[in-house]
Amino acid sequence: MRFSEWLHEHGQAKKSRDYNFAFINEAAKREIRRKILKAVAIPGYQVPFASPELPIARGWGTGGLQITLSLIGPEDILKVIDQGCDGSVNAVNIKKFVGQVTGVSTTTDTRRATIIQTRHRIPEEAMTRDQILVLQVPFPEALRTVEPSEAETRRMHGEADYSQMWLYLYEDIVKFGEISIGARYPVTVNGRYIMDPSPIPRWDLPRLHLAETLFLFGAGREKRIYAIPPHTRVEPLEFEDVPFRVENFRGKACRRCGSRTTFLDEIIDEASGNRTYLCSDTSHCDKLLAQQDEQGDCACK
Amino acid sequence: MPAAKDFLDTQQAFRLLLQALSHPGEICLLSPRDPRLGLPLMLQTLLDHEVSFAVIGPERDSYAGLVKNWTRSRVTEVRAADFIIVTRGSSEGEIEKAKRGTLEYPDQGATIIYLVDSLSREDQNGLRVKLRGPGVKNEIQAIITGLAADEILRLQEINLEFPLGVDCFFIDQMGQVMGMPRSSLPEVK
Repeated sequence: MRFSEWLHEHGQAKKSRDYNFAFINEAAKREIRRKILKAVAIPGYQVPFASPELPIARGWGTGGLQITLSLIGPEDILKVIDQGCDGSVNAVNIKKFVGQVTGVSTTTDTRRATIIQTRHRIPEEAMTRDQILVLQVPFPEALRTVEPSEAETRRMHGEADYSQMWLYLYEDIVKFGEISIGARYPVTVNGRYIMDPSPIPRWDLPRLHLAETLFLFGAGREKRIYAIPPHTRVEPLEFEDVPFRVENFRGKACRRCGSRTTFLDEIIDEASGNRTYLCSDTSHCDKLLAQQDEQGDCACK
Repeated sequence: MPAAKDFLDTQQAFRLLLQALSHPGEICLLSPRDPRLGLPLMLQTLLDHEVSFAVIGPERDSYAGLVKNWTRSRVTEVRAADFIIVTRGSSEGEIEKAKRGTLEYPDQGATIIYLVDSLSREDQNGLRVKLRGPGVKNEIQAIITGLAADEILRLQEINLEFPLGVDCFFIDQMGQVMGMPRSSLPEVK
């Protein structure tokens, strides 16, 4: 069946605009699909891929987008978030684009989505084995901070020569008393590769460890795909005497829903200088609010 | 053997292959409509003119002709092939020549596709293979009929130097498929 015929059958002929289903041509999809399979087979290893042009500038989520477009089918339900928010410009544009070239339905509900494309957050709600999380990655190479040469970082990964990285972390502790990396905190995957988990906060790292879900990472500008299969060990780099810790929100709560157990964004009022906090995951925050409305109480009071 | 190809079939097939490889040992039905379509669908999803393949086993030439026809992929020697199709349950050691990638680019290791009689959880007669590793919660067992036990032992040896190695799919006559990436730790019971 041709894409135009399928669209016609499903009453969406107006949306076709003569594009191939999911925009990318089938040969390019095949290449991306082969690379995704290799990425899954070698957890944490960065697989090079061609990264064809898209009508979105590189650096705006084209890596994640290419993975999503290679995965998606008419029965899928797509959710796109940017820093946890369903309504930000990058998320809305990507969602509209994928909707236009596939006709799939979209959602803001984490539980309903079959594919979630995300920039810099993992949804608060636990994901299942039937869902796939696609992460947009600006800088796929975790070792770039300590080594500028791509050929050299390839060698280092190949030989599992990570001494420079450990030294960098040690020096960080000497300078600041603890490891000062916030987002992009390096992890070891399946006890072998050091991997950049994309700029998700430390808060999200434990959710990568032995998860039910498949995580796919796409860096369009850097032309790399990598993956964490389900039930895979993902361990943040840490020292015995300086253990890894997540962000501390003790004593703080979301201004809208009152949550004290979610990752919070700090909002500073420019006039008064007051600091307030909001859930970063907006759809989860909306759900908590709706639950409170049903129960007739508000945790934020 | 028929060949069917359209964007929906290959998209669905890819999702099943991805599920199979990210959950090693689980058995996925690739072509519910017609079991005979399983193999052509799988090959058309993965192969094209940009990659090469080799065939090991009986009816090598006729399989090579069919695969070329379905995919426009290039036939080459086992040692250079990106995909290797083993038509009967054992490669008789030929699989040891397969590409395993390099330490810098381990993804260049070959993908092996074994054509087997059946894949199941309960069959009493087949080869019992236990798998551990990424994608598997604790341990999983699959029963493969039509695969020689020494083939799994060979794959164990080939993948000993992870990340170098080969990744496998097993496809049976019912169009069911099972994945076994190089990160899996198989054990024959």
